[in-house]
Parts: sequence; structure tokens; C-alpha cells
Amino acid sequence: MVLHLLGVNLPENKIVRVALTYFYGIGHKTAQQICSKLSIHKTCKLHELSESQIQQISMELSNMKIETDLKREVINNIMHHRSIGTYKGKRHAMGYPVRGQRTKTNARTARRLNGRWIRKEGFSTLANSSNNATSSNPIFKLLPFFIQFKPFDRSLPR
Amino acid sequence: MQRTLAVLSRSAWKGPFFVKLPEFRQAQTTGQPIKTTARSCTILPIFVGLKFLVHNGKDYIPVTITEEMVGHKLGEFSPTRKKFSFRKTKNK
Repeated sequence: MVLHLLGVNLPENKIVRVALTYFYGIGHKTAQQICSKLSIHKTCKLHELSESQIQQISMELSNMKIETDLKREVINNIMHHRSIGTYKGKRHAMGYPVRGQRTKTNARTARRLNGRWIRKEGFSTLANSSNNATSSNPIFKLLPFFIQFKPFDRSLPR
Repeated sequence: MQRTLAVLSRSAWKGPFFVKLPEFRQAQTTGQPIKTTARSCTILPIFVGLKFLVHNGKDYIPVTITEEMVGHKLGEFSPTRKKFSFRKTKNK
């Protein structure tokens, strides 16, 4: 009942267009585009696909930036802000909204998502799984420094 | 330089926004910090290695420009808000 494709479990009884959105980085629009490119009809379910069609899909997906690659890119972009000490980076580290939203109330999404992995000690799980990228990127070596760094403390060197 | 910043925000023909800094030549030779209130000035590649004192509304915050900062604005590096800290007595 479950199809493994590029490390993601897809439910076989779903429509292809919907099942593709189980990938991180593929939404409804991209899924639609893939389907129309490979001429898979609208109501086609995943278990109705032929072997070659599945292969075509995985070919298509392997050329795209999804899952771990995309997650790593997002993290790198945030770490860029963090490492050069911008306001954005500080807001991320403090777990507050980044683009000037209010914080008196609400701000729940930011509290849930922002800076979660910066505050997490060591950042170890992701660093181990992507050794090649982390070793080449100098940002990750500075990570202990980021955790200690207190934003708005002017006595520290900037 | 962030690509998104370049692509999404501003027409290419305008070029980056920056302010003329009268002390620039002097700062390049002597290494003195440039005192400025132009927070919206884009950091250009020629600024790398220079020191700035960027106004935050009250003080001038020292900022040393590194290569990664190119394309950002000067104001991004001098925070304008103080973090709230609870003080017990009213008169310090």
C-alpha cells in the first residue's frame, strides 16, 4: 500500500497529483506541472501507474531541489543572516517574527518555527546526516559561538 | 550578495542605492571608522574591510564590513531596539 520513492513513503491509493505533495518542496502547483509534463491524467492513482511512469517521476524529482537539499538551503540562508549579525538573524535566533509583525500577541508561527534548530544544542542530527555539506561550510563550525552569542549585548565584539 | 535581494527588490538599471560618504577616501587610507546615519545605504564591494559607525537613533554602533555583508544595508547591523530587561527599583 505504500510506495517508496527517493526516501519518502507515498500512499498508493491517492491521486498522483496529491501524493506528490507529500514531498517537502512540492506543492499543488508543482505536482500539477509534473503530472501534465508526464501526461498523467487527473484522476490517475498512484497504484495505477506503470513501472516506467514511476521511473519518469523519480527522474523528474531527482533533478529538482526537494527534501533534504531544500531544507539545507533554507537553513544555510538563515545561518548566513545569523553569522553576519543582521537584525533578521537575531530575530530568528530569538524565535520572534522576522518581518516586523507584532509580538504583543500572536506570533505563534514564529515561536514554533524560528530559531528552533539554532537553540537546539549542537545541531547534531542534521550535521551528521549531511557531513559533506557541513564540513565545507564555515558557518557550521561557528555554531557554538552562535549559541553563546547574546543579541543586543553590546559588550561582546560584533 | 543575495540573489533574491537583487532580483526582487529593485530595477537593475538603477543600480544599488547608496549615499555619498565624504570621509570615504580618508577612511580607506587611515582606517578610521566612518560615522554615518545613512542606514539605508547598501554595502558595496568596495566597503569590505572598512569600519563604520552606524546610527541607531541614539548611539553609533561599530560595524566592520566583511565580504558576506555585501548587498545588505548598513542599518541591518545596528539594532534600534533595546531588549527589555526588568529592573527592580524605579530610580536605578
